[in-house]
Amino acid sequence: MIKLDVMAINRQAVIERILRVVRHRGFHVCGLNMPTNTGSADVQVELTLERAGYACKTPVDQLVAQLIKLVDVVQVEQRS
Amino acid sequence: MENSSTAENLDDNPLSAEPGLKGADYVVRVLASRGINTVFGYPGGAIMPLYDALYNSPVEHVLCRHEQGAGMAAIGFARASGKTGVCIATSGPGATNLVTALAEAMLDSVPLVALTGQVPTTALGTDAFQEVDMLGMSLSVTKHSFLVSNVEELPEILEQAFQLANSGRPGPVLVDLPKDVLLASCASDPSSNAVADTQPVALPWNLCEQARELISQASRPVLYAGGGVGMANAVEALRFFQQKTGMPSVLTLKGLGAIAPDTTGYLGMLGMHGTRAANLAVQQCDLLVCVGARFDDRVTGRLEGFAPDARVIHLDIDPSEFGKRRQPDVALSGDLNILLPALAVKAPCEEWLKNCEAMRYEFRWRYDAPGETIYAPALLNTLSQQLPDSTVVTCDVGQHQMWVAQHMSFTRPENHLSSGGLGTMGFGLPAAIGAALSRQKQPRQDDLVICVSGDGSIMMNIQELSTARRLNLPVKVVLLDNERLGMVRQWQSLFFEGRHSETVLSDNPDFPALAQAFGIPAQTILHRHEVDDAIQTMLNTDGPYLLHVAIDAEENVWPLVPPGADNHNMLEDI
Repeated sequence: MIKLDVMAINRQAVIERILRVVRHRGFHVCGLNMPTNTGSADVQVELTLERAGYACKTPVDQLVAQLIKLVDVVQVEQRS
Repeated sequence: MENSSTAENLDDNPLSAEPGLKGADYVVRVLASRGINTVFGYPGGAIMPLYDALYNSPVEHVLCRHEQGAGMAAIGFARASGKTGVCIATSGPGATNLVTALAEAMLDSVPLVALTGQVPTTALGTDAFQEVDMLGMSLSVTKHSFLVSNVEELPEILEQAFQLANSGRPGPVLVDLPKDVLLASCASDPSSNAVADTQPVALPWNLCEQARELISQASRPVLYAGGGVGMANAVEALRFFQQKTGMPSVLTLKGLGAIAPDTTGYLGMLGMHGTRAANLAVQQCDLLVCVGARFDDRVTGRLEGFAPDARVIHLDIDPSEFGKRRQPDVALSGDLNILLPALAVKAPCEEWLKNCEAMRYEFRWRYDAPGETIYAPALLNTLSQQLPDSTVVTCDVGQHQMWVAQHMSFTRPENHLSSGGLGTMGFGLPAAIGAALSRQKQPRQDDLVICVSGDGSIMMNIQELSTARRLNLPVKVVLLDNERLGMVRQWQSLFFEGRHSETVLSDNPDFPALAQAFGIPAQTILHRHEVDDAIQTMLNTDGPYLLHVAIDAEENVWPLVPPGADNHNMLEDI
């Protein structure tokens, strides 16, 4: 299992954008936790992921590099 | 253009707020204030307020005949000029027709802003007429996208859209504009939205020193440069680096023109249809300096067998490319105009350079094919020799695209517009229209634009002949007609036991008659002795022209690295 903490700006479609990149880059969401953040400027997302079959060799660093390119994503950290 | 007018109609400050200013007026004034004097689009219901604002504005709107054509023309405009391309479409089908152009701009890193109409905010989510969730649809084909939910957001979103399209690795940005937002009064003060200049970033000297050390120790280095060089306006920096290091060079499809073709040690394009010399040099090199390129699968062949003995220095504006396909020994992210001079140290590679020059001579192109039928590579080479250096050549996708890359010469990357990442049939003609318009706005008003196409590709956006005719643009279409989807047919012959499934186009229309129906002069040539006169006629004809060239249906593109093979295992004519 791979655990990522994503901090992003709470703007249009930000969760869709994050999940789309995760899927497209070959990972499958096993768990997602997002605390209620009504009115907050930021959003914290905890992702638990596993590799899709076709991405069995994709380093997590590559996924992190793609996520951080999203305009609204501020920080991505991998948890051990 | 029917609805164009002059700049005198506007205030000195086009962004000054005034009573009665609507969202749509504000959009047009932002375009004007950014020096965007040409946009491409197609009107429709939800976007009508914007078209009303364009009427009597200094921004010239080019009416294309399909939204995809408008998007591709905006890309051609951007790539040929270095400016931001802007395309406009209405909601629903108009917007969805832009999707391929957005993907094209995404994969080739082109600064493009797409403005799409949307149903009023009160109708969003009701499956209203011509409503489609364009924000959702755009997520995978844009760098970023916005839905403007009220007019107060408009200034900041437009500012961000243009800034994002051009910053870092350029790309497409979509702004979805509900009709009521375009019609709402816009009372904000846009002058307060200026973006601060980017602060220069210090060079990572440790990494630079490591890279310099690798270069100064390399006896068989190769410079491998791609489309990022032109996008960064770093052609001169790249040439300075090549000259100082003295290393041989190869280019990707999108990089062509970044190194002058007559440069010592320049070996041409590498990859699947690259030159034998380029591929062999890369396979033998001990250091690969990758500049603004990304180890694309069409470049590397079997990745594990690509440049097997090479250390790698990778320079790119986008750090997510580092290690995505090939792990670099040194990776440097930043402005190539700063990085390249900082790494320009001599490499001890004189003997290697001589070997590469010998390979270049040994594997030079030959144009002595027998027979009287027209040999497309020879025709393109002949044409290339007769064109001024400033000519823009666009092409579609297929065999002719590879022949253009192999047999025509380019001295600047902005003069070779080819759909690299997406490989979009139908790119060439609208891109040529955009390129021609961009050059008309610059001092080089007499620049020709050649669109090399195939009989499959040309039919994908043939309606844009109408746009070329209406504007009387100097777009010359060279249509290589083998009555086939040639590249697919070639692969079927080589790898699918000759089972030519759905690749025969023997029922093509009469192309010269079709061009003439659009009001464009045209002629057909069948034999090679007709080539020289036909080229002269085409080049001497004002405005658009179509030269229809019948070529052998069985002609193949060589060399070819077969799928799954290493780049030194190229197939030649078999």
